[in-house]
Amino acid sequence: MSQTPPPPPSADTPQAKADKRAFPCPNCGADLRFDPGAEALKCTHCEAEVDVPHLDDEAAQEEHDLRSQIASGATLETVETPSLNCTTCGASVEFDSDEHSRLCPFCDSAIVADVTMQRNIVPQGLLPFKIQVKEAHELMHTWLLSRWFAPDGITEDSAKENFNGIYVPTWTYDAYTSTAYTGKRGDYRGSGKNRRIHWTRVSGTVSGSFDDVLVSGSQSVSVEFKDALAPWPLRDLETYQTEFLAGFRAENHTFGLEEGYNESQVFMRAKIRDWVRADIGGSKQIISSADTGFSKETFKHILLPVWITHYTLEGERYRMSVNGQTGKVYGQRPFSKKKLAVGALVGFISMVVVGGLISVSTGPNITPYLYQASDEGDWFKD
Amino acid sequence: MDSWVQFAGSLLIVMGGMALIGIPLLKSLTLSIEGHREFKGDSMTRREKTRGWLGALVWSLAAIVIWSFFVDWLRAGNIEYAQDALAYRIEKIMESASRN
Repeated sequence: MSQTPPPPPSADTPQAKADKRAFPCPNCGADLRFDPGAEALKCTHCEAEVDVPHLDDEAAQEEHDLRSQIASGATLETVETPSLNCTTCGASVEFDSDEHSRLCPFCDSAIVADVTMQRNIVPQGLLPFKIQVKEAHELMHTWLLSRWFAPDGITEDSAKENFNGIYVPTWTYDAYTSTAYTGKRGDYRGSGKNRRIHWTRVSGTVSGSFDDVLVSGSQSVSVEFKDALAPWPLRDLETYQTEFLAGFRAENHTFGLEEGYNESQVFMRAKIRDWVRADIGGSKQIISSADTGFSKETFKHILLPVWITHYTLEGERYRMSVNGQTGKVYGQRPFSKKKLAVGALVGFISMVVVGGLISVSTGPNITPYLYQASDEGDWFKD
Repeated sequence: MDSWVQFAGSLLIVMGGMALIGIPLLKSLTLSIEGHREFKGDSMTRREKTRGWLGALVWSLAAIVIWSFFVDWLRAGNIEYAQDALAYRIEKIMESASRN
């Protein structure tokens, strides 16, 4: 077998020139890809490494005023990118000219739509991938092996699949809140049968702030998915540079800034209700009214790294994802009905001890009652 | 014992039934435990978190009552005693539950 590597592809093709993410190797002209292990660009042909310049991180952490952005429309930088829209899960993925597969990386269904141009707000920051694809595979296997009642052969089936490295668009919101409430506080008085709850009318104000409430800008990534992969080390945000995206795919945001904020408010209001209950105190609380004012509302638009793969088991497709920064794994998992049935049976049989003890210990008490009730004599032979 | 075949047959049918009922409950319990251990956010509702535990608790109580019935039957060698004892226990459990 020849040890000579194949000739590098030309970096002067019209597609490569048009693609802002094309980074030709200074040595051989082949594509450079971001290498999570080296945290640098690495040539796919000659393995030369090129450092990614670290820009001012304050830009990544900068908070933008939400109200003025919503009122004025587009004051932030936008860019038009060729995109593919998945009709199954709603994902809008940036189209990579080198990518021949048109399978949606989120739901694994075939995308038949044409490439369209989509205008997006340029993210200000991102968490670069730190976990390499090999590590993602290992982490997924460890996770799958730790699942209870998983079918045999689950890791062999999942090992055949490829991972897609995807940057998921995310909004983060900050806000100060002040909530005026009225309600009732319930305190138990007395004990035993005389225990009663005593209600007192209360009112007050609770204030608090929220920092970096995450809302996915993607409708193909559910809340469960986002929470399951949390926490995200947002202090390590890097200023957005296309170099970090080389070799990865980025999803376009399908939830806008305002829609995202409305969703973040659902989370905030739930937390505020907890604060109000804590402020009311007592054993039980009733919130009659809660009027919340939001101020100093700011946002950031960032990208979060996720490795996604799909595997098939007994005809079913399952999605697995790995946090590209921390390596936390989350996935849809299959169950073995046989193992569940055996587990339930073992659980049932183990209850014989308790059931037997109850029978033996209460039997002598029950027997006189049953004699009296049925008057049929002694059932016990001894 | 009035009939060993009747006793063994009944036990096997009940075991099969409890295993079948236990499949979705065990699945739900496993998801609750995994969710409790691994989810940092609020993605699982309280109902989702407690459903698995509640189902397992009810199933375990039913298993204990069923076993007490079979042990009674085995000890007395008479199904009527086991039935009466089961009815008595259920009556006492209901009385206790209504008091609380």
